[in-house]
Amino acid sequence: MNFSTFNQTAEEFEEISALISSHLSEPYSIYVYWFFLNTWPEYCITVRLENDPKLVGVIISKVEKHRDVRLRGYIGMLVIDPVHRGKGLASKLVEMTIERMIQIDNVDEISLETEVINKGALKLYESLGFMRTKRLYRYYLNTHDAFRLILPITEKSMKRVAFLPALGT
Amino acid sequence: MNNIKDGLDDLNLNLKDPDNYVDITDLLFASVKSIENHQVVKSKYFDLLEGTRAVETDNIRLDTGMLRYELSEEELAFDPSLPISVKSMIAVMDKLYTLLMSWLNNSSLPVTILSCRYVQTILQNYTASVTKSIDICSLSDPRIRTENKGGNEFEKFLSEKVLKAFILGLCKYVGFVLGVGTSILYEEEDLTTRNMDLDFLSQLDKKSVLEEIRSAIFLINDKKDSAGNLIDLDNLIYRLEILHKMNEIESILKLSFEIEQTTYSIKPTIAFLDESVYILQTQIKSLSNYRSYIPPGSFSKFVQLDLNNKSITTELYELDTTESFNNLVNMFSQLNESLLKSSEISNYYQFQNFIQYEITNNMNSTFNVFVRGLFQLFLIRDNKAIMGSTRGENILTVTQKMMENLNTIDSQIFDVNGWPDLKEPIKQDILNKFDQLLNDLESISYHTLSNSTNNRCRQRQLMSRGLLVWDTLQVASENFELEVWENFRIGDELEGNNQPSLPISSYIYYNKLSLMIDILFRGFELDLYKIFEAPQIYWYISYLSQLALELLQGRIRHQLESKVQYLTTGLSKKIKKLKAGDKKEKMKKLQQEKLTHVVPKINLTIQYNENYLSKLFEGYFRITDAIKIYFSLLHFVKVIDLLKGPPKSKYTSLENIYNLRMKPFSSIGVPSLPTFEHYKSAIEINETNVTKENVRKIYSHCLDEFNEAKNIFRDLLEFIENKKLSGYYFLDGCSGNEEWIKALKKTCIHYLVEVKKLGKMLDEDNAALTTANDKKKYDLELETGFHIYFPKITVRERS
Ligand SMILES: CC(C)(COP(=O)(O)OP(=O)(O)OC[C@H]1O[C@@H](n2cnc3c(N)ncnc32)[C@H](O)[C@@H]1OP(=O)(O)O)[C@@H](O)C(=O)NCCC(=O)NCCS
Repeated sequence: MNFSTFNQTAEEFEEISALISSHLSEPYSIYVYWFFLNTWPEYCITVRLENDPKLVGVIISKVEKHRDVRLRGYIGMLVIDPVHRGKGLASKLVEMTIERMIQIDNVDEISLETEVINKGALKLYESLGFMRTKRLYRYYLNTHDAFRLILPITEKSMKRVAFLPALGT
Repeated sequence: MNNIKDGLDDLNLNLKDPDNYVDITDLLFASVKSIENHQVVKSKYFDLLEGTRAVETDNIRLDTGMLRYELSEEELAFDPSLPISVKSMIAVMDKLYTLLMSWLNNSSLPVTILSCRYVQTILQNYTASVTKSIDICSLSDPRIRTENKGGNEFEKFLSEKVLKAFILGLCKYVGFVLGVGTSILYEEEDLTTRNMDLDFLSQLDKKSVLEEIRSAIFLINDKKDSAGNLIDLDNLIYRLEILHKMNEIESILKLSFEIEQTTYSIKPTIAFLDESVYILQTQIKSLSNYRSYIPPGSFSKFVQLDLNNKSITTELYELDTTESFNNLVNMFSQLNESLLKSSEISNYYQFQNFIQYEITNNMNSTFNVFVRGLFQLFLIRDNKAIMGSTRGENILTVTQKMMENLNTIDSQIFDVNGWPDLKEPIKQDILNKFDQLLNDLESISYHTLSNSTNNRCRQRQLMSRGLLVWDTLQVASENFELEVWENFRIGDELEGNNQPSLPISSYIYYNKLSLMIDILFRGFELDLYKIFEAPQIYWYISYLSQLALELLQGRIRHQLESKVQYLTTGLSKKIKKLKAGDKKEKMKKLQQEKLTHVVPKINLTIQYNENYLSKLFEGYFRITDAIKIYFSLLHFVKVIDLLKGPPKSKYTSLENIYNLRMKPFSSIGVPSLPTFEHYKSAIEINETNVTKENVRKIYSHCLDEFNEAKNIFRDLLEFIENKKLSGYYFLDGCSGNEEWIKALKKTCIHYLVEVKKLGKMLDEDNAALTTANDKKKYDLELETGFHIYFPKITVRERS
């Protein structure tokens, strides 16, 4: 397996958006891909087979300030080609992302949303220590609720926003 | 770049109309040239959320313009003004009822009601017109002209008169729902109000719409002799009647009830709700019988192609017809029931229990979202009047009544005239502070009451936000009450210990504790906790419940009993000491008045706190403590490791997860949040005591606690079922409380069985712990339980 960072070429951009749009239920516009991939290319990690250049998995994330008091990583999309699921690829991508977020940005926490019925994704994230902090009522257009998951990393993630100093610029 | 240009040419834009369209091709390409690579150009108002729904030209999933290639000729050129048969007419109505219920099931208008070309056309004509009159609302689309429309006279009449009346009525109703949605409900999660810039008849008088419907019904009846199948015509009329009644719903916002005063029966006033249920259940019965008669092309994605659309192409959405029918019936019956019960409330105990157990706890996804919003508007009016009271009941008075119902009745602090004599500026200063405190209490009551109709997920988030307010208020009220007591002797004294009573801060503390308990419990309902978190949460709840119980049976009870003692003996002594005369007589009269009116009320409060509230918290304490012990037992037999969190937790720890989970409580002053270390020592899982004997001891203790909990809930149930004792506090005909306690009792029984099973496993195995010790053999499973706060946690043999 080859894990690498998005190489910022139009070809790879096409590959990534094609893989995602064929396996995620909600369609995203080209803007969303650009938003993530252009601003945080270091948080887009791809995986390919050793002897086959085809893209089989990708994770896309970002890091931003959360209400001006914490630095929050956010995992936006994660997809593995169905043929290659169950081999630990997604776990590896998530772990690499967490490590990078800690290393590069020293994030306080990492969050994401996933549908309450997506047992696979929940198991994957929760086994790494992500915790369900909120249930979001009918978050997805197909009427399912979602969970917001958070992986607490620093002390700040365990304090209420109102009791934290502003990060400033 | 050339590719894009070819693409644009392919689109073959028709620029025949230079007045309305400006060719921006050159301008566009000139601006694009100045964009550097790897740069995203966007307006600052365009955020990620909008981005995820943004239209993307030339992308079949994201460009609504491309729908023109997907829609059939029949759909594109559908003429809504064609005459229509009775059967087709009913089919369209049933489909629209179905789509209405689909919209209310978290869908959007463009993929439900607005997918109907009849609806789109009437609204388009109305929106475009200047006069906004009813005549302008025609079913003719000026862009579509059919030479020979066909159809007989009756079918023309149906189209021009009946179909039009139906669509008008439906749109008016949708307009009302939109209003409720935008003022009360949460956009997207409760209701999606995106309306394609169509005006849902906002300026059309409701009366004239109702008149249209009635006259349609009249004319159909009139034509019965000459036309078609009578059964079909009756069916047509029933559907119009339902729509008429739907449009009457708005009138409930004019109803006004007075709690604590026998109000007139509202049954006749809202009889139309009951009648609707009756017509639906006995006459209409189904929304699918005429389905095959829907005019081809009348429902499609056309509106998404045709009108201003800020959203991507979306598939049409339609609930199953049976579910839609049931939802429609529920809409009327849930509203009917909520209103009837509200009108019967005769005191504020009943009010609080009603709001808690019949409204707040019922706001799950089976409760109609429109009724949820509407009930909120009914409950708290624009002027903050409660249920439309015309005698001054508003949030502030309700707050004071709720306080009195717990512990503040006849508190001296509320009796400003009875305060000791003070210099004016001082008095004013105290009064200002007191007003501020009451205002804050009013706001938090408003927050709580208006949260009662939110969806359960939202409720919990807002409760967590409210917790901060309660906590701040507790500090403020304590400071205030102490200050005025110490400096001016304002306030009551507790009998026997010369201490100030501090009723307001006690009330706040009580509310804060019960809120904390509820927030924690609700995490189970919303499936937020992993199994390894359950013991932490139940342990924390048991601690908080114990505090609530102590508060109720300690300070609060003392406050109430002191008050009774003062009004009886204390006041008598005071009177005795007075010289005969006016003042003495006045005091005597006052005492008499208090003895007849106040003391019995206090006794009612004492009874309620003792027989109901205390018992409830005691029950919560016992059952959660028992579950905590059950987990210790499971830890000893190694079915779970309570000190181990997520399997691969190299980035975080169980302690971090504990702290993140408890974050909402981390800032609370009293009681301060117990640390993870506290938790570890509380669960008593010292590895050195894993002897067979010890495990046996824990096992029997666990059984005892569950038995004790069961008995408490049994007593509570007896109290509630004994109408002589409890009828004053609980509204007749409401079973919410009873069901609640029954489910708690069942939970205890379930756990008793589970714990005994575990005991048997230990007995049967001679080596006692070894089998269970084998971690791989047993596992824990979390499933839906008897009570929303108590999922079943069961030991399973691994398959
Ligand atoms: C979810 C998804 C990314 C998992 O990819 P994957 O490479 O198969 O996952 P992994 O092999 O790394 O599995 C990691 C863990 O997740 C769990 N898991 C993954 N898929 C699962 C499934 N379908 N059912 C149950 N558990 C599953 C397993 O427990 C596994 O841990 P284990 O092997 O130690 O028991 C993949 O199924 C996918 O692309 N789904 C569609 C897109 C999606 O849902 N993305 C997540 C939305 S944020």
